[in-house]
Amino acid sequence: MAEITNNQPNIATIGDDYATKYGFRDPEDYFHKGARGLNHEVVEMISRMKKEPDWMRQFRHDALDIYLAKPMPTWGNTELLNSIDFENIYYYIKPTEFQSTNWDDVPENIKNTFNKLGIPEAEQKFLAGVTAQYESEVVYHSFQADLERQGVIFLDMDSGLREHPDIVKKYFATVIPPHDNKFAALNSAVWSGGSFIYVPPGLDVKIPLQAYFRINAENMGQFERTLIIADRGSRVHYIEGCTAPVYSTDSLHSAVVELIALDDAYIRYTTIQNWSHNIFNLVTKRAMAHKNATVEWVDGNIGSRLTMKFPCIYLVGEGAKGEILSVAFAGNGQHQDAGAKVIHVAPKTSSRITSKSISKAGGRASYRGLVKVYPKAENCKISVECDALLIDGASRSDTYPTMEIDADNVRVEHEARVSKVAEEQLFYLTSRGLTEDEARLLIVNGFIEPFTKELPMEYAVELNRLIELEMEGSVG
Amino acid sequence: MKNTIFAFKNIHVQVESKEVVRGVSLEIGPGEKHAIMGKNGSGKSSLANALAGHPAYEITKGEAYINGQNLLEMDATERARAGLFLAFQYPLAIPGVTVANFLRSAVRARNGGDESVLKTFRKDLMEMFAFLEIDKSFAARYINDGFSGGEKKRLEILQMAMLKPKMAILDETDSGLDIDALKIVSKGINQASPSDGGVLLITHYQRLLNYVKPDYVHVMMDGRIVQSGGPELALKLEDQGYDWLESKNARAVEV
Amino acid sequence: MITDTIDFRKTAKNEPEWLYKLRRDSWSAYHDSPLPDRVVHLWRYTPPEQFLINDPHDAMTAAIPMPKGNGHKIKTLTEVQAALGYNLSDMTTLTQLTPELSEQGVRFLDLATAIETGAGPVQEYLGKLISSDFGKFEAANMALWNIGFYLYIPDNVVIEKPIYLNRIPTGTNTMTRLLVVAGKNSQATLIDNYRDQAESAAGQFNSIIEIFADDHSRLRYVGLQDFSEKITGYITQRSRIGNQTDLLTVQSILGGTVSKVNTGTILDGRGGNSRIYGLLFGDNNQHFDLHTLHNHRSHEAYSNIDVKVVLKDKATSAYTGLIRIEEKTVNNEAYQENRNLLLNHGPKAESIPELEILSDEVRCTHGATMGPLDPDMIFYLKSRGIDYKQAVRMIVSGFFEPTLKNIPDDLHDAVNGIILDKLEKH
Repeated sequence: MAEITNNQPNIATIGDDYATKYGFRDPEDYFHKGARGLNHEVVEMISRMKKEPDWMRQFRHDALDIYLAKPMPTWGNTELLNSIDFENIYYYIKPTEFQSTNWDDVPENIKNTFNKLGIPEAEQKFLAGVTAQYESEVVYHSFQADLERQGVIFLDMDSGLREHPDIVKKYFATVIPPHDNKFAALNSAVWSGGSFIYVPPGLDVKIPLQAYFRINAENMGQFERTLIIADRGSRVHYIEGCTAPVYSTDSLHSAVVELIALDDAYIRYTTIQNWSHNIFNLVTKRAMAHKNATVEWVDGNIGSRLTMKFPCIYLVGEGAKGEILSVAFAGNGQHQDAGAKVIHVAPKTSSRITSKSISKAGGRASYRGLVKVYPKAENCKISVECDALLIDGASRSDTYPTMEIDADNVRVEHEARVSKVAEEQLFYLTSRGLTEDEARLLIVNGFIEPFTKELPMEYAVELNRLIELEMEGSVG
Repeated sequence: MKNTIFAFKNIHVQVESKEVVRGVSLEIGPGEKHAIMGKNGSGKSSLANALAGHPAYEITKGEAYINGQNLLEMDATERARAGLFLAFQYPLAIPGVTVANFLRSAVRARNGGDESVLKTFRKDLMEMFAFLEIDKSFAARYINDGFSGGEKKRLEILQMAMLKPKMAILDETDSGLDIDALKIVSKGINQASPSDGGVLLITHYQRLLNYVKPDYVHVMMDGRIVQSGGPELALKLEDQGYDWLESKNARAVEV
Repeated sequence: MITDTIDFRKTAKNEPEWLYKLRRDSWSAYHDSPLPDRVVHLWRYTPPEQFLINDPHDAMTAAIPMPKGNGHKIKTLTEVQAALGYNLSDMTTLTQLTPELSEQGVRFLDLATAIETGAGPVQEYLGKLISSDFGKFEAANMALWNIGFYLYIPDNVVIEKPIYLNRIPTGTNTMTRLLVVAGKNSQATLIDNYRDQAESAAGQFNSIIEIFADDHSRLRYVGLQDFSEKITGYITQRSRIGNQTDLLTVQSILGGTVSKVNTGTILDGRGGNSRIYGLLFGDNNQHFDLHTLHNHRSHEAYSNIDVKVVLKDKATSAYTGLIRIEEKTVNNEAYQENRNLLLNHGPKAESIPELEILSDEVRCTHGATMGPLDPDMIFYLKSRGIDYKQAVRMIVSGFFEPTLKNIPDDLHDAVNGIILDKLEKH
């Protein structure tokens, strides 16, 4: 643990914050920016601009009807949810006319944005493929040629639909149908961008693929849609990151992510969510794990005003495994309503959920979880562990786990702990010459270490840096 | 055939459809102490569990007899009532069931439900507690619940003494014990060992055998007994390790 | 207005004006409120319709008119009891209290009589923890209750021996209440036993329990619900404890066809200590729904919840629990554990142990486990000569033992006996 502080500057000397590092904004010079609000004309316009097949156009219209008919959720932070002004949102903004495969072709200000965020640098260093989404569309996409030759498909979702209509039609919305929930319906109606990945049988994509999502405009609604299919025995790791400028009014991010791990396949999906504090982040993520497949969600939530996100794994094939590792950091004015769901449908499946949350300066972190075992899913093993750390008395931590067991020979273990940073630990560290700030940061870093150790090294360093920013001046 | 208390022949054991014991035979006469030594994974604990009737350890082939009765036709309860005792390598905690109540039930069961054997139960129990240097308060504690490693092993020997088995199999009873605890446990084993029954000590190391002297020592390797001898074999293993046996055994396979 | 169809003046004619108004308002609250929202965890697993009052008039009239005590096995107070009370099916209440306690100012009697005769403080307590706003079916009880107990213990009175309550259905809609007002430094143990009789009709049983435990008091409340499968039970309990007050609540839920029990303690004083133990054994098609609450509103208090559930056959159980630590409180400790043992094919268990922590000066953990009998435990016992059935009995009794050892010996054996009987069935 000690080397983390050695590598990093003293908390007190850190001058920049989210606003300068991530929260800057670009002037708007867009190819197309529609009107605010949502209706069937907006949906029709999106579909026409994308020149979509008829089935997708119809799918969108049907989804919009479902969205309009569904009431807002009556659970969770209804106060914040109901404060969203859906009529004030831009549902589709196309920043550039064409997608580029070379950073030089990306408009200057957008390129600068991604440069500041370090995307081209990361691409060179440790990624096999990158998509960069700006507002509603992917503006940059690249992918290693040898993987492409081996049959791996990595495209933005719109291109995926154009170039591989059969695969998309076969799997799209099969994991998360529009009627699943109100925000899945919304996404289904107005989705744009996101990633489409197909890994052929037996192929191991050893280097991660990444997508980066950026919202720039005020009152923007970003609705990317991601579909990942890992065919039999294949392996893939996908990473997403997201940031936005700081505005005084709210923007909305409502993604749908569907993962399908066929027999013996392996998918890891890593998220570092760092939206600005004016973003409502209402995301539906779900995976299907077939026979002996493994799906892992590694989900870090640091930003946003309200996040409601409960990555889910359906274990539908015998011997399938699921793991969800989640970290939430709730600062002033934030509510991280995060969690995990595992649904055991097949026998001999196993799952593990590890949730870590940190609440600070009046922030609220909730763990909301579901473990469900259907009657035929005998001989399952499930373990859930939730740890919450409260940095001060103004903050709040909730744990809302649900366990529904309807099969024989199932073992479930659930444990949760809520604590504050122990005085003894602080004293021990300060007695070794650390400042209280440094000591607290060290303890927090140690607390989330099970999460950071699962991240690629560069992301772990970045996450620790983010935590450091959020922890700044927490003594008081 | 000599007069035996416990005998098994060509025992094969499968765990999760993997064969872990591959044809082991042994005859144990009255008053005899045998030791089976071997490295981790040699199959010796699997053999012990299978003989005691653990449902996860399936005996796929072979025969076994206790006092002339067919062991393999009995379930674990019947084997225990016939006089077989297994001291567990990892004794289980059973919360809510006190040591005293448990032992009372077990002693009654061992004696075919005869209540009269319980007349001296309390006295016998307290004597054994004292002998094994276990605090009396353990009688009211839950079985192995919150016990240290050494306390668990002592409780196993206490049960052996109370149940007076004809044949005791002690599975790594010495593991995890410091030297003082080892001495107490050994004292208990020697005291509780039936003079007309048999004892089978399963161990990794020789040190237990300094205190509980075996008459015969067998070495298991890869699911088979590869060498048998007297107590001097244990000393040789202590001295030279298992390597000489491995190379010898490998040669035998080559030939 | 439906309220007009119930003449509370007529049905409870000796009651004071405040109670008449409370009943009328509560009836409106019951009648005008929608069914509970199934989205909330409290109602997620048990349909509320079954607790609706089919016949409010029936709730206020006796099922089996019979001479006082006739047909019931009424026992007289024994040496090991401090008090003994019966709520009978003919809506009579019989209470016995030792003369010594009576002399010390303890009051133990029928709730309606207590109000009528002013035997002790009632108005400032009745419905204060469980008002008609609490929930639809709590409002129904407040409107319609017509039988119940009142226990008043003055300051500094220590009742060593247990007080036994026997509650028997009065008809197809039983509405009963218990109000306990325990003064400073007082001590008592209450055994609250719910049973029905061979001649009882099938029906609903709605019981409300309010316990006020003042500073430095020590109370034990042991509920034992052993209804036949003719009865649908609805029991809501709230206790409020003061400074340095110690309360143990045991809810043994064994009988009934459907049993919904909501039990909770408000830790309102510094240094309070509340433990809630749940003990549930379901068989056949029984359905149990237990909710527990520990609400820490003050400082330096300790709470612990330990809910153990054993299910067999097609029985189902839902446990929901909430620990809430309020803002600006310091040094609270709260623990919660729910363990479920699922014995044979078919039972179904849900567990939702929730935490809402609004203060950082806190230690809080919870755990939940679900699983079948541990085959290694069975093997361990079998290897000592104990047969399978006996091994199962030992493990199940042992599973409940840490809970049962907290209740008086005679009850301990009675509950264990019921559990073993249920285990043997089929």
